[in-house]
Amino acid sequence: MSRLAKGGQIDRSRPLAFTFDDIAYQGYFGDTLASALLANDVKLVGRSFKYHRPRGILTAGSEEPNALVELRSGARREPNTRATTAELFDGLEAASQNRWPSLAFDAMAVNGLLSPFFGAAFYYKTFMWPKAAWEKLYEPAIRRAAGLGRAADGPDPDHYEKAHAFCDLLVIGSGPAGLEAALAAGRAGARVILAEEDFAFGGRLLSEKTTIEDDTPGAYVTRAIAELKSFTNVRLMVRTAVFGAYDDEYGALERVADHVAVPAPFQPRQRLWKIIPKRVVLAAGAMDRPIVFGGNDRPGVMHAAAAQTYVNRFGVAPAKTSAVFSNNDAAWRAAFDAHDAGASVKAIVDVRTDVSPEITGGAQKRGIRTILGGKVVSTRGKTLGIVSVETGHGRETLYVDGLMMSGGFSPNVHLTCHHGGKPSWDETIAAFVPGKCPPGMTVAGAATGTFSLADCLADGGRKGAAAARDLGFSAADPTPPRAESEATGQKPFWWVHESKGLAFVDFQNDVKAKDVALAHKEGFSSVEHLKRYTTLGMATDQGKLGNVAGLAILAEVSGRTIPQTGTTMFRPPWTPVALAAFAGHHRGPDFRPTRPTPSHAFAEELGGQFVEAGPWLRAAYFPHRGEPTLRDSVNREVLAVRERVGWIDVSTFGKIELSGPDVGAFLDRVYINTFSTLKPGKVRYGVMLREDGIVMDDGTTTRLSEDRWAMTTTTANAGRVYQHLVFCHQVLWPELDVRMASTTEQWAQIAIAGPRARDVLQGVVDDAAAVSAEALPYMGAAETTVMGGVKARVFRVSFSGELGYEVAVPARHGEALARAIAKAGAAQDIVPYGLEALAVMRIEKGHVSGPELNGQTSAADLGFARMASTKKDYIGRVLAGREAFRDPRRPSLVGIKPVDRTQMLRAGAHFLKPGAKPTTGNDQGWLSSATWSPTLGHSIGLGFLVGGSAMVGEVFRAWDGLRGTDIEVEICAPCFIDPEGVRLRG
Amino acid sequence: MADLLASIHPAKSLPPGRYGASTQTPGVTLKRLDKAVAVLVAGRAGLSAERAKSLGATLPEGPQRVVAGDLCVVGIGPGRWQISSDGDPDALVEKLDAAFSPEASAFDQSGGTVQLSASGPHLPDVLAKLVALDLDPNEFSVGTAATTVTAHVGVTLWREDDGFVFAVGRSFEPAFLRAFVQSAAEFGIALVD
Repeated sequence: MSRLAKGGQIDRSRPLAFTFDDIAYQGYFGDTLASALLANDVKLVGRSFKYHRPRGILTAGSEEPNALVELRSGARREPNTRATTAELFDGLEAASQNRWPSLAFDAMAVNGLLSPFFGAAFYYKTFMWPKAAWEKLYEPAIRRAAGLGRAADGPDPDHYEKAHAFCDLLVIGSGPAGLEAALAAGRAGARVILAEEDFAFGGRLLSEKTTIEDDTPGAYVTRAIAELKSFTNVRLMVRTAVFGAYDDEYGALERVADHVAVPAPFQPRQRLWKIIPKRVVLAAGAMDRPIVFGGNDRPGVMHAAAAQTYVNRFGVAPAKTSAVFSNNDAAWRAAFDAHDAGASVKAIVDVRTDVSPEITGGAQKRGIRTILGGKVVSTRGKTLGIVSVETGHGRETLYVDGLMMSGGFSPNVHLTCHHGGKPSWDETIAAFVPGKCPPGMTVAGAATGTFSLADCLADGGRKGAAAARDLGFSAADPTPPRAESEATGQKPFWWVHESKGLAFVDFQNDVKAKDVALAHKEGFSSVEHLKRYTTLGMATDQGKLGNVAGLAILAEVSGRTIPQTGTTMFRPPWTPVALAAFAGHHRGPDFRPTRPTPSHAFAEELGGQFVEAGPWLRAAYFPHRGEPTLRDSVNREVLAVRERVGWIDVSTFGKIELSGPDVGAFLDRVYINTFSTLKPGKVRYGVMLREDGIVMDDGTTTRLSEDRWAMTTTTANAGRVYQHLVFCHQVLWPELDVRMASTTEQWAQIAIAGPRARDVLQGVVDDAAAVSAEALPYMGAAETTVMGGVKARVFRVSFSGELGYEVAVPARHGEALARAIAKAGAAQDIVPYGLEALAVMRIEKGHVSGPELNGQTSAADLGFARMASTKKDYIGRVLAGREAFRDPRRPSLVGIKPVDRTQMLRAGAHFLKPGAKPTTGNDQGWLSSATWSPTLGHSIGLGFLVGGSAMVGEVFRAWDGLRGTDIEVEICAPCFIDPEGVRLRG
Repeated sequence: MADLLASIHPAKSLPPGRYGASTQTPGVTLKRLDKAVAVLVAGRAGLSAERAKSLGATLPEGPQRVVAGDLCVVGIGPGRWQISSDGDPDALVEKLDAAFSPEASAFDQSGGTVQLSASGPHLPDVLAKLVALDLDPNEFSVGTAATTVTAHVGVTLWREDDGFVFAVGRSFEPAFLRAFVQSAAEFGIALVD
């Protein structure tokens, strides 16, 4: 056990049992999975992506590239979780990934031996040819070898949700700068949100021992959090990672129940926050970074700052005997803390020859050997056992099981880049510091490159107060708590040239120093090319750890400075976000709203089978017993309507009501035909074009009274047409006095169709005479009452080609109306019919619908040329007259019948002349809609054919390359039933 | 929890009752209101304040809610108001016509609009999940209204003394209730008819 006897912020009275690769271990409340594994001397935790090299825990935070594990099991299994951020809980099951047959012996590790062949751009170079092998051999093989964890194999049993928060100031990070910023703004009365990605507030204060006001940093954190909690205007959000800066809002992920085995009842697993702040203080701290030397990826090599965290926060000595390899003062303090906690530190190797006496004195006092001007050149052991050091006087071997490395600190500038701001290179700290930030964001503390604790506390307070003042709050710069200004000396150092063995720049992507040099040698010297050629900075790591070293090496081999070589930029997210969090409750049946028609419940009672029509759920057909196929039911429904009568809910059609003195003029401008001449009580069919002359929608508009008009649109275009009308009214013709409102929801509309439709209608209206053949002729409308006083509108229109009416009542009476119609029609043997029968009948009647109004067809293509008024202007008129639209070769609407009437037509087929080869040049048009016509007893269709109606009587082929059919068809007029409209007018 | 509403078809309105955590008192209560609703749209010349007097209520110029007796007037756009009252829809439209015709037109929406009143100690927590607006009482006081989108459903909402009222389209009510119940489940919710 490497658990220290005392110290740390774990609760030794609360042991937690967990397993890793099926072996049982114990940790404590307050541990991460990583700290608990280290406490149990588990050093090998994963295999690398490409070479399957054994890997251990490198860091103690969200930048961890190696310790990616699977957590939980079954449907809750989640891959690629960083052990360093996974909070330990009782019963946690964790497993290593990307290894076979076991973590200790991984067969794929042979890749490591072949590493000379797997260098930069290995994929590009190796799998160029033969081309055919790519899909069959190379890609599957690479995917097998290079995969990381396994996704769960069942639907996620947990739920996720989204939420919004608004504030004056968002403080990101709760280290010394973040706490002081939140306190300053909170005291001033500003609404503050303090977001911390860890499960504990404090940031680096949890890991260090530098005193504040002569007390431990932990005591300071406790006091600060207590004060923040006392403010009603401050919200503390723990386990909440702010992952992206977007336009005026920040994305954040709250891990609500990731730290328990199963979320509490009704508790979400994670919550995706949109935080909308007026100002932001980014206090994200800084990250220790690796040094590139031979064997720097061996389990046991760890960042010095991480080792310090394990010792001070978790009470774990990551190694029994350690050495240090660094270029800066902070790593020495980490070594001192390890020593003071009882771990053995054999030597501190520092590349510098002049380290301040204050620091070297600390080593002397503790009896720790120092090797100044030294370098680690290689390591050995499956887990670390031997470190080889170039001391300046020769090679020396150190027998240690831990190596704390530190190449200096990189400020966490990630979020500053999300609006395109480029970080700038600061020579004095050899790191990128924030450049142009997103609007309203200031950066405080270590994230600016100011590393001493005293400076961070002061900077945070100043920036928090400034943000509050900026918003009009009265806030003086606070007096920062007194803290030591510890030494922050360092010397830029990246790469041990004398390295033996593989020296890694990017641990997660297995990119080595040699790969960077090779990329440059082969001409990929731009940073962006380097990334694509070597995969440096890809995957979840996104260059957090390795990019600066990679850039430095590229600069060195190309003889340029780092600023000349390039910049490291970051894009969201800071850490990976599960897609489930973005979906929230919108999954399964709640993917989007389901809109029921007013008669839904009744249709269900009648056995209706429903189909999604956009968000609507509409009855598709009503099967009877003994009808084995959909076609059987549809045929019966069609014949019933043609021979007797049927009803269907058509409430989903868009409905727009208009009034005002200029409605007639307005409609004349949006429809191709004239409406201003329409008399009250009359219905007219109209077609609207887009500006480009293509048909947008069709439907009817009724003039109910002198000053009241009711428009209908297709179901699909209901929203679009209303939007179009509002645009026309507000932007194009603001001078027209037109008032309109969408009434799609207001009116339930039931269509009654068939020779006996009038009898049924007269059974539901209160005044039968009002709907007699004389009182209500074809294309007439009446306002009346039904079912004993319910106000209703009756329109004599027909989509089926039969005598038809549409009866509208306020939607709350819609279901009652449908039931009343069914009851009134019982004597006529009325049937409910669905969308399928409706679609059959409209093709039989030659009415165009979605497949014809497909965004490619003009009014002339659809046979509406004569409908278009030449006496007025309307939207789309000019562009409908374009040359291409007048081309005689342009296909236009025709009807289609198979020559052999037993053949089935299928929409999507192309028309070819007999004997012509199926080439684009020979294409004569396409079949847009096809159906079996029970009325005619054969298949029929509508389509667009070069020559259009002039081709009636000719024979073509309907060639369907997709389904492999090629049948002879006869061209006819698009209307198959009652072309004179006798039935309509009956 | 993913199956909280799995047994209820998404096209069906959730039946009244308790959902989610079984707390002693529900964190949120959602009650369907029985209201006549109309939309009043002003013509190009606009409406004079004088005309509104006969109604006994002013017509707010922005996203505000004004109450006069049983009449509730909510600004939903320039020259547009959603007006609701107790009682008969036709009577409401006649009242509006009498007050504003011909300068403005009234459109009956009683069949198409459902009003729901939401209240309860956890309402702010639930609304944070549903509404992308700052509903802090200092920013969104009693009488403030908004026309926006929640969970892909278009809504008009306003703050009353004891909570919020939501107006949603009839066919969107089932989806709205599902989103509301799922968001409120951790606090316990009561649906009241």
